[in-house]
Amino acid sequence: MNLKIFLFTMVFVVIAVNICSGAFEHIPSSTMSLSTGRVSELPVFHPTDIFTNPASIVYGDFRTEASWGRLFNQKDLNYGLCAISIPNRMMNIGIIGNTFGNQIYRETILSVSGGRQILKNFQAGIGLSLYQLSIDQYGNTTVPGLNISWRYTAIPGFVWTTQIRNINAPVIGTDEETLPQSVTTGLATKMDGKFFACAEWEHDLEFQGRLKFGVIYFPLNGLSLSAGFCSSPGEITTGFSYRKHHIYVEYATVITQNINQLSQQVSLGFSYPH
Amino acid sequence: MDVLITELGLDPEDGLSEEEQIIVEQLMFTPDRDRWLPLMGVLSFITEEDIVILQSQEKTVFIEDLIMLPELSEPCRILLTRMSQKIIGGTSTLHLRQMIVEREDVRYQWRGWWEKEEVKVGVLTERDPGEQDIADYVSIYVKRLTKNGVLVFGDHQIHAGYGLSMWRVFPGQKGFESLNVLPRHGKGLSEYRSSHESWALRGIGATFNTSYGKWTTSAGTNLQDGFVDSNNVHLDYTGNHNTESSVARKNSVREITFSGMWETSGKEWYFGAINSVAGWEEGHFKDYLGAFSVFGEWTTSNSKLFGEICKNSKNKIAVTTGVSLKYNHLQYVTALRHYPDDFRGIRSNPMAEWTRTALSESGLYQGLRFSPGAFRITVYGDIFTENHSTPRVGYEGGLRIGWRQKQYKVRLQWKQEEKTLEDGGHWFPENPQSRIRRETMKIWAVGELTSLWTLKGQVVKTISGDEKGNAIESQVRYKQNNLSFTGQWIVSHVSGYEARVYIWNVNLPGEMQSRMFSASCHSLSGKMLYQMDSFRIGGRYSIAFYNDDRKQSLNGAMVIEIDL
Repeated sequence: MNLKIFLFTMVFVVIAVNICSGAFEHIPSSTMSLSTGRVSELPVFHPTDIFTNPASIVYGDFRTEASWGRLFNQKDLNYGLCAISIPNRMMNIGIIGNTFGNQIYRETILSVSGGRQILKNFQAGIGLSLYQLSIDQYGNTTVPGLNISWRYTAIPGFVWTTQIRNINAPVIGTDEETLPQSVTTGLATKMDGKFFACAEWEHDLEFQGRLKFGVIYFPLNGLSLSAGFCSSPGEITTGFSYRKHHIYVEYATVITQNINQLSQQVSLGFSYPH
Repeated sequence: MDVLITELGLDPEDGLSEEEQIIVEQLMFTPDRDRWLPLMGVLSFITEEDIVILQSQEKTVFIEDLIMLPELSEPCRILLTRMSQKIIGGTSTLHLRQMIVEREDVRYQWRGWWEKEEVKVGVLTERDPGEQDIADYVSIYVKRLTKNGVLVFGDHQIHAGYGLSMWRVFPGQKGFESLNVLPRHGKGLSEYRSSHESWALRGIGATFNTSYGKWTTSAGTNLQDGFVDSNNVHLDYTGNHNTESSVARKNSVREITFSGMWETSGKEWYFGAINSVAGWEEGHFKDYLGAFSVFGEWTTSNSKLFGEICKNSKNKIAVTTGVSLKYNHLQYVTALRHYPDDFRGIRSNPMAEWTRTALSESGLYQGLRFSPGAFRITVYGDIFTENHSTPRVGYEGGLRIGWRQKQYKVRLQWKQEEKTLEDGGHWFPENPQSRIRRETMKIWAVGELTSLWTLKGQVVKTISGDEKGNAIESQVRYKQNNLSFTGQWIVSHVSGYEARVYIWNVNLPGEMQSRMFSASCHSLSGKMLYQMDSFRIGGRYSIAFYNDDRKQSLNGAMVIEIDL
């Protein structure tokens, strides 16, 4: 074991075993969401986003996508995820798998979500997630979490959405540290079919709340350009999405101001023909 | 709610209970008179005469025509006017409100109810500042109207008599509005709507109307904050779980409750009795309490005699009784209360000076209201003493003169109170120096300049010993179509805590908060509200600049509300 791996192991062991408060801070989100200031309400459905916003699946079609990303340009902070959405007459269903970390420390999330239209213009969704934390030579532990969300279209093109993550207050580890519980609420609008803007308030109860803002511009059919900003910590995000027939490719980059490091995510998606 | 506060002329020291605020909100979404009339009947600013007049009207009479009835009181007419402007005609089945309040930390509250035909479901979840769990408090009820009564599953409460044993909906505080409140008995079983985290009965409640009267029964079990020791149960009603010790106390006591109530009434009389028992358990320690109470009222054309007597299993007997007289524009109420030292019911909530888990006081309240023409003059006084061997004593009284003319309202108010100091002076014979006197004067005026602009101004002066407090509030409101703006500027000059001044905050829908000024400062507040038929969004923000070294104080809130 070289020095780098040893130091990395020690850092993660300290975080995961003694404190655990750093666990599962990284959650699955679509590449377009990342590039648009990490907002959870998007003008285009992405099966990955049903983890944070299960209600969004109501407008989902039969779609699958896979993403790969790296945090802060650190090889050991790689992650990968895949998601699938399945329309159903009773309730649209989505499944997401996400894995983050390396051979020594690994976080895995498996989530099943469902959502349906409750009343006119009002959709609600619920997601059950299993969080598994594995540390080499220390074993692993699993805990379930519950996410809920709703969205309401006040007028066409103007949406209010709220998501509550881990409402059941799950705890993990021998110290029974709570997993991140957060509230996200925001307003989104789509103007002229060419512009989309969303502003959200996100509050992980352990930290200060943060404001998130993102815009998307659709210059050509199938192409979209995104940019956004988050506060606390400050992040600048940008990216693009390109769709051809049933296949789409997306790329996002996030610059975190405090550490001046770049995070990236790329994804490939496929929507099944009706 | 802001507009209603202004129109009713409510005083920040004399506001509505949270339960009443929720009922006022619900009235705006309840088009069916059979449903809104019982709800209206539990509001403290609506008189019993108002309800009788409204009940006597044909069901086909529109709400706009009810407003024109000359016999109705002014507050009732104001409320009906608000309802006629806002009621959503028969389509509302789901109501959802999200409230986020930021002050040092964030308070989240989600409240929703769904109603269809005879079934109503309500959910409330709340996280107070500093609490670890996003759903720290969750309250759910399912209410079903049956052929002979009501069934409630989940959180519920029983409003019985005059609050000695089981709640009544009104706040226990005394003041100018107690004239309306004191002579009115509880309305029986109801769903629990409040965000007070410890007061609900959790289980099942049912009411049956029979030829032998109305029977109400309840059985439930709940987890309470607190502890039980060898002597007694000690419950913590704050609902805060933001410190290590309060988290340790959270849900640590198992409570089991059973209640049975019988009520019967005739044309001129009403009589009822309730028996309740509760048991508390924490580990090996247990405590229990039983309370039996009888209550009733007797009404003649101009008077009403009312009262309740309650005996608990610790052999403590509490009594409250009073008389209400009415003659044309004149109303007089007097009520006597005696709560022996350490008296408790299962959910006692009578009118009291010291509202704690265990009551201990005797007192006499008197109030007089005279309403000639556009004037409304109210005088009240209350004298009280604790039933300890070293009692605290005191009195309070006030005069309020209100005048209303179309778009303009003016109010003058004077209030004086003198009470034994909280720390010391409990020795007999009491030293007059151990008392503190507080005097408050207010001049308040509001005027609708045009259909778009409303101006409000207020001057408040408080004197307490050597300490003096002065405040001037000016408020402007602009409303056009769906959008409204409110701006408020408060200047306070306060030399000490005892001379503190209370002024209403700019409130969002669902809020009724006042602000206390105990130091000299300038405070600026703004509010914006946008409302459509089924969607409302609003935000408010306040900043206070203090004259001393204190930091600026900031707070803000946002509300989003939908009706479907």
